Amino acid sequence: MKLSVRISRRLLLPKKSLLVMKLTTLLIFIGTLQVIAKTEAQPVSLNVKNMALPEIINKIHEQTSYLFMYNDQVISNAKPISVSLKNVSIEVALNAILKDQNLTYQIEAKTIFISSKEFIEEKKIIATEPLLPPPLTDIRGKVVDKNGAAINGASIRIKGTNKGTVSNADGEFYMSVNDKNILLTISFTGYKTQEIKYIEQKNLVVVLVQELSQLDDIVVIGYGTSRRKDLTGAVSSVAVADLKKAPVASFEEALGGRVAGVQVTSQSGQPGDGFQIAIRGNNSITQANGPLYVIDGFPIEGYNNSLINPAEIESMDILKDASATAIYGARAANGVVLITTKRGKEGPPQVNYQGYVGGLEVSKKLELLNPYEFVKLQLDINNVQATAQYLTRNNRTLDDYKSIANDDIQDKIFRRAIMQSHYLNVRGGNANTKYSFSGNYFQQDGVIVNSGFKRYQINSSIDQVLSPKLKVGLNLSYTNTSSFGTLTAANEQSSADRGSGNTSPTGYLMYNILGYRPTTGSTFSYLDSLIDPDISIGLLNYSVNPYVQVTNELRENKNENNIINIYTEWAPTKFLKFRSTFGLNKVRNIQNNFNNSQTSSGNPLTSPNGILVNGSVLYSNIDNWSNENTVTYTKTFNSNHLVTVLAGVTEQGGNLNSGGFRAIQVPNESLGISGLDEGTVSSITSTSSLWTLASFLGRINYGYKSKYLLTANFRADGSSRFSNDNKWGYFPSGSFAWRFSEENFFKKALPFIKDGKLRLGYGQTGNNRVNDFSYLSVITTSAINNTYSFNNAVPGTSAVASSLGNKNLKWETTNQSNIGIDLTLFNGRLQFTTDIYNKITKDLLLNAPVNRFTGYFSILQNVGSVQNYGTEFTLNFKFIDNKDFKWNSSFNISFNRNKILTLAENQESITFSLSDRIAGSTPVSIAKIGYPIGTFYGYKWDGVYQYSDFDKLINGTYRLKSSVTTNGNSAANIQPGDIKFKDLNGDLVVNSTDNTLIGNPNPKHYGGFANNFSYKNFDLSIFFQWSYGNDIANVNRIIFEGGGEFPANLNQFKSVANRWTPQNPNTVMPRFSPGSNAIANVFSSRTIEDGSYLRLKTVSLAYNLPTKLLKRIKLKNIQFYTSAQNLITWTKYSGYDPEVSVSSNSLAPGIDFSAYPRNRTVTIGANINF
Amino acid sequence: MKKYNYLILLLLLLVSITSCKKFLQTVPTDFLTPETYFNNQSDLEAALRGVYDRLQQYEMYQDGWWSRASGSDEQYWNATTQRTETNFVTINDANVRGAWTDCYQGIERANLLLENINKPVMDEQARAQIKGQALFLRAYFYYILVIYYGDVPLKLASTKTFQDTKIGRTPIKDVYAQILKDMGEAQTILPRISTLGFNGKVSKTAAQAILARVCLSMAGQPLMDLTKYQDAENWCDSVIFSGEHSLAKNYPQIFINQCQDKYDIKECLWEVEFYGNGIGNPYSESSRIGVTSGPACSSISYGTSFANMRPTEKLYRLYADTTDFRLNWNICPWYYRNPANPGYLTTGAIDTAPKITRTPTQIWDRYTGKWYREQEALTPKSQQNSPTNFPVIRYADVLLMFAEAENELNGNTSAAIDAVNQVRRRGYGKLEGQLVSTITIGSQGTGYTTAPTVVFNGGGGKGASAAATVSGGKITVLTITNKGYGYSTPPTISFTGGGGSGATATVTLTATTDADLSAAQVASQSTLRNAIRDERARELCYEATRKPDLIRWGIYVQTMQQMASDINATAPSNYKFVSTIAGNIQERNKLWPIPASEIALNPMLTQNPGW
Repeated sequence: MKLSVRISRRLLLPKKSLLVMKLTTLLIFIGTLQVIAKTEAQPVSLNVKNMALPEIINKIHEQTSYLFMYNDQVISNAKPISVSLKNVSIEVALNAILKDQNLTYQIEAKTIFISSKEFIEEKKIIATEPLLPPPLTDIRGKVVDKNGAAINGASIRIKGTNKGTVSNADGEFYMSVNDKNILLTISFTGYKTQEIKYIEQKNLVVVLVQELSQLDDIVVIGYGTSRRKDLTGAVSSVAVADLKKAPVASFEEALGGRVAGVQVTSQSGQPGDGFQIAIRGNNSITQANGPLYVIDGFPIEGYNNSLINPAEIESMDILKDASATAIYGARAANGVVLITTKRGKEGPPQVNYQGYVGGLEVSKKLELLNPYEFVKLQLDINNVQATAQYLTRNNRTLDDYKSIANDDIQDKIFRRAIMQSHYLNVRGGNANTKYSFSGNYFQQDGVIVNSGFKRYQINSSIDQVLSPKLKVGLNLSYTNTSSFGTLTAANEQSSADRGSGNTSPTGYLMYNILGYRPTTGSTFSYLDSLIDPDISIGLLNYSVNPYVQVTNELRENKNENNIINIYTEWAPTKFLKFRSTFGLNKVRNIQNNFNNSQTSSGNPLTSPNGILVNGSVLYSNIDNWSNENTVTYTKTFNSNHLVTVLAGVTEQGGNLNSGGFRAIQVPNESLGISGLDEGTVSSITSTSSLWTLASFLGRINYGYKSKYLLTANFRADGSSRFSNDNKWGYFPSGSFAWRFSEENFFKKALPFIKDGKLRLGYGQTGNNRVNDFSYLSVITTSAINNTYSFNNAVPGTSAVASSLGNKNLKWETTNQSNIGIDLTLFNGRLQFTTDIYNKITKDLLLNAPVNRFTGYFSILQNVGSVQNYGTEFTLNFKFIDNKDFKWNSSFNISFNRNKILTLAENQESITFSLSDRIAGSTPVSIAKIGYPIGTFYGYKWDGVYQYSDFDKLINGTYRLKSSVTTNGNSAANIQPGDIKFKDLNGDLVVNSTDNTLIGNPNPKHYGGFANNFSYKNFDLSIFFQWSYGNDIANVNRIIFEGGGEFPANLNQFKSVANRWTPQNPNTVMPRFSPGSNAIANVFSSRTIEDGSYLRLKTVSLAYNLPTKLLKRIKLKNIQFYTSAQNLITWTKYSGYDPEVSVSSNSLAPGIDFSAYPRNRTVTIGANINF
Repeated sequence: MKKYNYLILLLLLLVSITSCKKFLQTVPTDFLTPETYFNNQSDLEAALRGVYDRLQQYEMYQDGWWSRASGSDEQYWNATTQRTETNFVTINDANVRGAWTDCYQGIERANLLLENINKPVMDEQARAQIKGQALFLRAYFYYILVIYYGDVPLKLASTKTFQDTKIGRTPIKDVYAQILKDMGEAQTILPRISTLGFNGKVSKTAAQAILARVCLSMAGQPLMDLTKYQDAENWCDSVIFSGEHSLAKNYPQIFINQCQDKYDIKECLWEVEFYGNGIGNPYSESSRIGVTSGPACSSISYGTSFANMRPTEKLYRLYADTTDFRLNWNICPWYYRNPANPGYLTTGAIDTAPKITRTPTQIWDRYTGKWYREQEALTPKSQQNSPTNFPVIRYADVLLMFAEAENELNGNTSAAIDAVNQVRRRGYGKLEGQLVSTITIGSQGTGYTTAPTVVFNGGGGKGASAAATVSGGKITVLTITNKGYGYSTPPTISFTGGGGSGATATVTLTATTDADLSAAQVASQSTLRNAIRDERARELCYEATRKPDLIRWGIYVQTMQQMASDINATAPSNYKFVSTIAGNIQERNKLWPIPASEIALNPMLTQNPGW
């Protein structure tokens, strides 16, 4: 009986959670069973009024030695009871209690089974044995999970009877039975129920396998967790296991298409490049739109996700609607991504190694003119010069170039690169101490020479139970990343102290690569020298050999990230839990740039202003800390009313300091960065800033029988980023969920719906993504900028007002309503979730342009509003679930529509211009009322002028008919073959008034489709991602299809071979003429392309070594796999890749200019558990 | 005990609430705000530098103001593509918007400084001087705005909130009134230029000279306030009689000084100063004078020039003959011989190459001159920038403005004529002396088998040369090949070589008045008016005065269109494109458009006619 005592003590503690056990469906409808036991029988005394049955059972249990077993749901319908009993027998007491109830009981071996009367009647029909004969034999056994860890509280039943017991903390159980020939049913919440034929075994070991029922999944929500079935908000859990199959540096690379409502866009394929995650569309026009990341409970704005190794992620949940996010208040408007990293687990030490190596290559090369076509073009552009350069100099004819080797520099710049990742994790622990340690090394070379990414990471976590009421834990993480290589989508030269107005597309690496001529027209080869001697140098720097340039440039971005998190949890009673956390995140970033004499910036012939060999070092330190204190009260009243109350106070703060210098005319270039001190300092920067945030938060969850669920959230945030009058923002939200499948009428009407839930939510969230002191006007003092020399003296310090503060600045507020339905159908084989939402963001923190006569360009204001509305669908389907063959699918699709409702007063639109000479300063993207943010803006392209548009004059020249519109050039300068635009206002002149909306960068829908197959020891996973209906502005084509201002000796796209010439008039590719290029150099629908794509994004094939073999080599598990990323993309887009958006500005999505080509990756790897 | 625990927690909560207010009160650590600045004299001086700074912007005197904004008949941007520089302006033009922005940033900085001018406790005289500069500069920015954009928003207080953007355009009349008021006050408190000792800051006479310019603008189109001629003359008088200024004797030296960062405060009343050329120091706002203009050059050691700005044939023709020294200084008569690969920058090759003189017919091929990068003293030279200061106003301009005002007020008086002639005489080198006018052969000598060398001796001048023609042992003709300059007395002539002897010759020098306006030019008010207009072009070309001059005289459009048709008729075929640049000028081009982006933000702003 000693055993029973131990059971009872443990079983008594929590009322519900620990004791939930699953019984067979035969016994009761899927539900939970409660067992209460005590050692010795005692007479029962009760004097209660309107007491709930479970409480009475508790009281009887305390007085007697009887163990109770019942199903939660069965007794949840019991009426409150009023009885007065004194020292009566257990039977009398039970009869009195259950008199008016639809319940009955049986007593067997000091266990009282309470069940519904119907059940007993049913059972009587099935099994007719009246009473069980006396016990014959004892069953002893142990229940463990697949790792061998004991399962405490598993239910062990004899099939076809009400007889059973539960396992203890060591997983052991004991039962006496009256039959040797029985079937045992062993079940435990979250595990697959097992049936075992009992044959007299001394030590029966039952291994239970975890069952992934989504309903009981624990979902991480803000400041707590919830069972999925109790959720009232829109929360998506990311299938982390699937995510990890992608061989990528950071999880965002794999996240796209995995979660409904989450759109991931990347700037380009640059290693370590940034990703933009937009949850349910962009709210903000000029401010950041990324979600708030909460890593292990620590909220971090603007988190750099390449700092976290995907293998380290235990779970990732994305909060999408206001009721889910409002607990994060002022920073939650763009959604919240909650990431939990691996922690220790109870059990013997587990050692896990995951590693892979692989290769990558560019997924596409762009077609450029070959030498013959190129020289032909040069002869068209400037016959005299090109004849001298390409024909007479070497005694060649044009046709000779047909046989001359094509020096496509893409072949030299792009390479097959290597990537590898190694990850080692050790974790384990006992009931009191749990630990996890891991290390990661990741390295990826870029497909462009001299670029790549590296990461080292060490993580550790310890959880320690100090006393039954007190628990503490610690998390330490150190990450070191470095990415290097020229940023292709940044203008290198405009950043190198060039004067204003001198910016030019030639400062971009991909421009130089694509524009590099395929032949010199001579015997000399320039491929190994920096400067092409045939091309005039100056601002037009396409004479620079990009290969030499890129291999000599040092562009290094190093990050060190330290995270320290500690927590204390104190549960003074079983209802109450205090939790206090303190977190510190230190980020140190260093950027090293060095341009030696073999770079355009450092070479004496091309270096502007004699800067010569130069370099810079920039560092920044960001320290963020947070302290959060919450109290959670959870109690079930009358067994039907579950109430959880959360309240908390948090404080956060951060400070940043950065600095650095740039040195020019560095004498010893061989010393690199270390030699900068020998040069002349050209600029020094030093900045610092700080912010604080204080918050009060609260949440009430109320659930009635897990059928009606209510959540109310409230958060008050005070931020230092606003003036005294506007520091505080208040963010309430509420939601309601109805599990209609729990209604009896519903169960009867639609029995195939296993679970169904309707969710309604509404709430407000905020956005405070402004600079720390945006509300203040700034006086900038400088001895370098904005200053002036008097009397030839070195310019003194200047002081100018550089930005205008706005004391009225306040939070941006997003109101979001959400309706969602969750369905589980066909015995859990199909899960379906849909959400419809409507978000209206008002008081936009808008860096609104103002009249420049104010002396300023823009003022940050709370003006305008933006709407995002849409719907999302997620389907998970288990097609086949056999022992040997399994096939699961998941599919999601999202539709989001974005619309600007209002802007600043009198403002119809905000435009965005590419600052370079591409398309001049005319806008390319526009935020216009009634249309989505970032709509493309420009001329409607109308082909080219044909002879029919002209009058032929007597002298043989062509003059544009007066009835035909001009194209921006004067009529006299327009010739057949010139580019033509639509004249929208009918004034026969194409000018800025003919600009119109020419494309939408936002997809009509996007989503993903994942399939996991497993056959015996093989696992295959195939994942498709798509985006449909979005446009891309292919700005490369403006330049490389004749729009460049200076096309001589600049190579062009292959399509240019089909340009208009008198011999080839049936084409829409404009002719080449220096005078008409400036006109072609505008933004028009010609270069807007359909960016829809379907991508076979991740394919992974794994083989698990058979168990037998594993036993022999004494390993728990080995998996070998091969996986591939970005394998095939189906798209009409003509650029490198349709997943591109080089500008990080929210206002200018979908622009492709000089983007780093995306790569295709194939890896092989192993996953070993020791 | 349990209750005690709760109490502690409650207390902690309360403490954190009460400390919240302080906790959220952060103070910026790396910048100052207008409220915390302007505490002493050096703060005000720093703010003043910020106001001056806007003059150095790319669209302003660094480059744009005398290149793309100049758009007149004296020079053109050498490009066949349509762009601002070729007078192809659109309402979205970046340069048009840039200049607007620069001026208003200057105004905003001046407004903020003037609002805080009385904040520090400091020397009152120093305060007055700073105030004078700020007032003047604000007015000067408005002057640029009013002549280029017409009616403009008149903002005399700094921007404080978004509400301050809600203003419309003020009629030019009122803008001018404010300019006169501010400059008028400034000139009373500004220091004398001799006190300053340099011209990079605005002095009393500089302000007065600009006031004269403003008054002439007001007297011309579009305002046509004829009473302002008298004011203009009065301001000119103030400068002329101040005793501070006089004409420099040597015309080229004015500009060589500017290339070499030397001040001539007698001639140049106000210059925009540029410090360094961007090499060896972190200052990026250096000039592009000589880089955008000047003779094309790819040599780093001579100083690279892209020669984007080229002189028109019309300007060339305005000079009567080569004895006007300004011709071959302002329009470069030679070019650098380029190495084999044109445009290839080199450090050495060109250094040994000579300058090659253009033939008299190669007028269109010529480059602009005036500021020659080879004159720059600062080395190493930059490929992109020069240290050359830009002269906003010179004493020659004051004299010509005086002449113009006097002629309009009183007709062709001798005072008006004399003022023009002063400028002309300097242009002809007369302030340094005379030129050789004629050589008379006294004795032809005997025995000359070859032409002897003609040697000029004494006379105080230099440069004169002549060639002798020998026939029958005698010198029959002496041809002046260079008239020299700077002779105070006639030099004597001797002959060396040639095998003969006995030849003599005497020299007569030109008279000072040779350079003067001709009788026909001074015959009437209207002939003198035309003479003054041409003289301004000859004297002040490329100094950003021509376009505003043509506009206020009301002849801008017709002048440009006339030039376009002349070019179409007479220019060599490879320069015919310049006719487009002139022909792009229509009636609406008298003003730039108000930037479209400004109008889009503010319906109170209207667009200029025709845009």
